[in-house]
Amino acid sequence: MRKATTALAFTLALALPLSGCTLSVYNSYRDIESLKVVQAIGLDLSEDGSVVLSAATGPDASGREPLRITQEGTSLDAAMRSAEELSGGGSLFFSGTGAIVLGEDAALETSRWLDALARSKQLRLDNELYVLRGKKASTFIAGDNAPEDVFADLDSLAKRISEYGPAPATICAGVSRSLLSSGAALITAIELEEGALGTLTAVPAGFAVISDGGLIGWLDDDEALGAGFFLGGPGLSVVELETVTVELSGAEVTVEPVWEGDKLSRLDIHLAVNCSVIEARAGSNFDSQESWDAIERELAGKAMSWLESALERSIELEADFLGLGRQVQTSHPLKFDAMPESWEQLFPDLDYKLSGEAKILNMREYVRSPYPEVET
Amino acid sequence: MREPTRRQIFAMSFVALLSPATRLIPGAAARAAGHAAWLCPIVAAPFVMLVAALVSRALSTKAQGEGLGETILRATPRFGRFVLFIYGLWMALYAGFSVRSAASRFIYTVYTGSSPWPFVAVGLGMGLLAALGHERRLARSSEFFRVLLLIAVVPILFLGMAQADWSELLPVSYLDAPGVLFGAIETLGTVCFVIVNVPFIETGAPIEKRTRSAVFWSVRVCLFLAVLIAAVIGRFGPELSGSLTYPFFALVRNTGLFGVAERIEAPVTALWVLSDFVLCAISLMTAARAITASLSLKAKPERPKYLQPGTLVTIACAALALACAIVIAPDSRIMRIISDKWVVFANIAAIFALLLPALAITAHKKAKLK
Repeated sequence: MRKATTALAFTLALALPLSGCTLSVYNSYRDIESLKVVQAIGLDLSEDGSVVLSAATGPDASGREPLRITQEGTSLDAAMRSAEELSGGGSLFFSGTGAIVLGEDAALETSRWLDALARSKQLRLDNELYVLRGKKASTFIAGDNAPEDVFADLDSLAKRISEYGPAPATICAGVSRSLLSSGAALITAIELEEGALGTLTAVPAGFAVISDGGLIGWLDDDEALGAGFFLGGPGLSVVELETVTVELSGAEVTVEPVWEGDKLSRLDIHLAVNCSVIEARAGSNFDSQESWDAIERELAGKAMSWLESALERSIELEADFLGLGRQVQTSHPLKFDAMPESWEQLFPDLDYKLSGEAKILNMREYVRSPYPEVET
Repeated sequence: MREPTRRQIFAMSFVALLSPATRLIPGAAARAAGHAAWLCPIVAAPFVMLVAALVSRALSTKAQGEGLGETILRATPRFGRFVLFIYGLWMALYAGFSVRSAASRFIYTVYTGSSPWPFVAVGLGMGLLAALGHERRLARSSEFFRVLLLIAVVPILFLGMAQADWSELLPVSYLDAPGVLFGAIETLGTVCFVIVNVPFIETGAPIEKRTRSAVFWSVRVCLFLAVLIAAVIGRFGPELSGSLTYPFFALVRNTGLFGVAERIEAPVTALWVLSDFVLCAISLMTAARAITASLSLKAKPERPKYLQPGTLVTIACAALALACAIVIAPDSRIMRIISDKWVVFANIAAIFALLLPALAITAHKKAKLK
């Protein structure tokens, strides 16, 4: 009985510090109402190579205005701490960060940021990572004309590019993996345009090419769509063909090395894309195999041209951001190890042969339009 | 049935395994086998099963109240005495290492900049209290701890696998075999550590069909470890996983629960204290039981409990563990070298060169002893 009473008293004593956060015996707790949750950060370089950190919180239910702040520090952590000093009442909570935007100058030192993120107590490798073309990230995150909710702006962009291509938004961990295994990586690039509300809004702008730890070039339009085939697919990209508009619905790229003895003589790259026809002219008639074949041939040719432009850019930059070397290594490990030249030596003169096919999975509603053709 | 029961024995084994397994295995396997690291536990599984079967066979002659130490001593008194004494000292040192290592993990993941000594003092104090008590208390607690730890670890592994990049895991080829075999050594040492140590406190009634249960448990644990490694490598790739100090906790830090909960590393790291506690307690208990058996120290009914030989040996082991924890590593760099290199191979040597020969003799003499 005495033991039970002691145990009960001990348990009740343990409950004392559970009465609240702010008056707790612990000192690391913070009142949730005083937290200013950072949702997006931007990273730029100052002229002397210091870190310029910009941070944006989102609007919250209490009606507080989103906080925008830009601070400089010799390191990322130093900049984060000095940003906290200027945040006014409450404290900046960087652990809620969901997206990181690198200014073009900061992207020149991408591996510096990835290293800092891997070590960081507060920031995470599962954050989305973007590079802002031609501008400082602070313009978008904390500039005068920045969107009211920066993270919402980036989040809707991420959803759009995931759904409509060229590829899902890049994640820090994925960029790290690619950089460490292939020596090169792609990061989703964005540009700023004035949106309907009069504030800046982010729009997709291809990819930033990272090699040797930093930015070495860009992939635009067709190159970006071609690279998208290797980065999780182009989503439901809309493609304008001569007679119809199609929506891509899945693609697969296979890479098959061709060997001459120990030497890798060529890569045979085959692309298979599926699509749905979503729009055609009034009065059009696709009620024949020939008309379907023609659409499929045109789409295959177009998709191959995107792929070719991405491959050409990769070879031109001598950056294997599509991970071709890794694919050859995993499919033919013995031969890869026995190659007389290393993959890095071979890559700039890489020979390849492209082939492709397209398949229409669905033609929306009807193959023969019931409406009369419009005379123009 | 007198406790610990079969269920409790495997609960203790699982809970004690989690701390060293999450600390060591993903990083070591990634460094050794790259993309094929997740195969390391699968390759280690047959050897783990053999060790589990050998331990069960050795235990088949045990009487109620006896553990593995007493069983070994009955089968091979002179060699067993030597083995148990050395092994007991090693386990006392390991208890010190385990609390110092747990303190390092706390400092690294949550309380950056803290001193390790409060964690060491509390960890060792709690471990000593548990080791001084009856093993059934630890066994019952472990059943509860196992549920809590599974609640934490299963969603993390599920989300980790859901977000894994499969091209980092497949395909694998026979060229990966040397790396996988080397990486399997670490898994073998870590899993066998709990397989051979928990039976030192298995003093309940002999467990029916123990061999079959232990072999199935070994298979389940190896598969669990394969998934754990795959989740880590699939997220970070082998290069980064091999570089990170605590890749599993990096995975935890980078896991959110469907936007409902973020930053779950603090509660998860806190839950791992349960594993550290059980590991420390088992190490101290094993050390005390092995040394007590090797010195043939018998309980003296005329003395109070706190002056019994077993109690005094346990306190002496805890003092040795404290000394070890204090001197073992002045900083995190040396701690990592000791953890990844010295302790791993010292543990493998202690199990396979010292304890397993004694176990093999014990198992061989089974019929004779019966």
